[in-house]
Amino acid sequence: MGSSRLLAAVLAPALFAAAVTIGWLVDHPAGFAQGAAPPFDLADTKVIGEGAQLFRQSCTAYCHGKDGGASRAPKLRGAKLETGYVYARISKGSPNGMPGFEATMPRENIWKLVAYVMSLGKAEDK
Amino acid sequence: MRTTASRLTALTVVLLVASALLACVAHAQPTGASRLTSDDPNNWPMYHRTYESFRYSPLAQINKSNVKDLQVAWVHQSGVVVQGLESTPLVIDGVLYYIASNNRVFALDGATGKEIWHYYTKLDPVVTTLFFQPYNRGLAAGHGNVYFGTLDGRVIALNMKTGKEAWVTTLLDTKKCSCNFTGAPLVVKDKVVLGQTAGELPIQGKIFAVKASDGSKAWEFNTIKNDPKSWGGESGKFGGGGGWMTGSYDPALNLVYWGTGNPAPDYDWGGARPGDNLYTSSVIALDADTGQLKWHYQEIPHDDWDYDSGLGESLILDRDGKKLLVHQNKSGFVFVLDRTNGKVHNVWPMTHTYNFVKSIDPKTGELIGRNPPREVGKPTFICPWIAGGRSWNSGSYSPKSKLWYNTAMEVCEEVTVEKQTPVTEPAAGLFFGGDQVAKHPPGGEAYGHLDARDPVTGERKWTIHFKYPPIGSVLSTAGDLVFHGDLEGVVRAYDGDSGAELWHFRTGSGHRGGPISYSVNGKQYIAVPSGLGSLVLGLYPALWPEVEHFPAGSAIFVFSLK
Repeated sequence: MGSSRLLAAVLAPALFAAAVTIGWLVDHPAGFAQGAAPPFDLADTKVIGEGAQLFRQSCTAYCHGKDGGASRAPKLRGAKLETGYVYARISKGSPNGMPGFEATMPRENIWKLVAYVMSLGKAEDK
Repeated sequence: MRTTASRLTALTVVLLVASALLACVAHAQPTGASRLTSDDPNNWPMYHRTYESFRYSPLAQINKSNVKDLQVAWVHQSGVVVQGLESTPLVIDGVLYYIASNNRVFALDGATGKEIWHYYTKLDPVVTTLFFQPYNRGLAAGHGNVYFGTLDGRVIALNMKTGKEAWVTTLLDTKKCSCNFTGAPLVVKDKVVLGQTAGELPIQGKIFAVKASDGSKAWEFNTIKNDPKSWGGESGKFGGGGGWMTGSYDPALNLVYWGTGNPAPDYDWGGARPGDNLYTSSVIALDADTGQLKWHYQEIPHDDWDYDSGLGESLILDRDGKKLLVHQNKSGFVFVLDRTNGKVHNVWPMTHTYNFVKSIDPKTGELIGRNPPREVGKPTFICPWIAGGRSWNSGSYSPKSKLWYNTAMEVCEEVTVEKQTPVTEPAAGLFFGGDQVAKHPPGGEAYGHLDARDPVTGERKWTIHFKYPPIGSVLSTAGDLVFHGDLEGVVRAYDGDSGAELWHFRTGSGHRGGPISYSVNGKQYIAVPSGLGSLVLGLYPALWPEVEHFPAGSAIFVFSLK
């Protein structure tokens, strides 16, 4: 086996694995986000409070409704959502018109929003 | 004799050739500036149909006696239903042009709906990060092109016949400002005028004119006045404003009239932006050639409620020898101004439900008894709601009936003001300064209505009640008809004199765009954009939870007589 063939034999599976991984990440942004750990405890009430403030300042009424209540966008109060999904959706937005916030909001603030949205999942509908 | 006959023959030939050449030239420039003022009854050549912003068609083939026989001639689907269909089509010489979400532009045979060309704008991915997207309210036409502002801050001219790009010019740094274009431009002589979104952003919004020939910038007007008395501290740097809808033009005065957006932040917690905040929430008159300010009238000095002046039409009316401009503010009050100098002629309320002021002086325009939501963290009950006494949809004025057919919303809200630091890096973030939730008015249910009124005095002739406040524009015609679509997806024709319903059709999705009328080969058509979507729609489910599930759509329904 020549050196070039050896190189190809080693590289090919690695490249294939990388391609599969990249493809999976493209299809599963939530999974990618789940891999990134939040920089703080998402159940921390201070963090949730800061997330609530960011939520109010980022299109509450026009989009998700006050305190995550009824609107044209999905109701967040009582919604059972996965942390990674919420992070990915806030970062990237959705094809249904929700803007992505990763260009305008520091990563830490996105996690604060995640903490608030996750807390809404435990809130009573009103 | 023979020579004379030959000369006459030669002259005839020359005249015939010249006539043919002139006809060719006219055909090659189907919407030159002169045609925009010629009022060909068969066409709908600009957003409000004429510079007077009447949204009135002089066609009368479809009238009160036969409107019951209207039927669908054809339907066209845009293919993207996100935020519905908010635009008003244009028709020029039998071709219907319209723009849908994601800046999709279509040219269709006005008689059959068959596609002539389409242009799907390749947008910068930054668009997916924006608040104002993916909708667009309309096109402009002239000098052989159709024009539109894009979601990523450009202006594009397309050849009307081929749909190919004539030119593209970039006016906004959307990646930085998070701002863009969503309103229809206005062609004025050799220029294309349009304004940007800005009212909810910590930026300085502008109105632009570009040359119709090549897209180069002719002038720009900054809606944030450089004046520390008007903007205390550094607040002017983040003042918002802009001019996100379509203005009017008076050829006799050579003035472009434009309504400006609200100041940012939308709510002032006290000291956020000291001063009157010129030229936000104002009507401005600009020299069409230079963009120089000729006069301004600020409808809401130091706007505390997001009652901006950007919405809808500015009616150009002459009455009793006076040159008037009728402009509705989002507060629900209608300001009637002298369009030569901006002085107040009258002010009247389109809505019954308001408490943001006790009144507005009809002689001076002064806001009396202001009720600003200023207490941080505590809800304040305010009427009308942030969607306004009317949203940006337009009414329609019939010069035949002398009535303005206009919609209104009787809805309130609770506003909670909150201090906010403007974010400008790496890109501008939303700058509201508070949030709100819709509420019913005291002692009753929220509702909407379509009225027939005198536009100068506000005197009402008839009214139609709607459970869900309507957000679609209105069309009136010389057939004494008024067309209007509701939130539930029903378009109706009313008797313009009495308000009696004469015809209706269920399109299957609610109405946010502007119906028009036009004629091809002697046959009149009514074109109705159907497709529910809008930012303000997000406010409805707090009062009417079922609206959350009203279906989106995006289609043009065209009707004609059997």
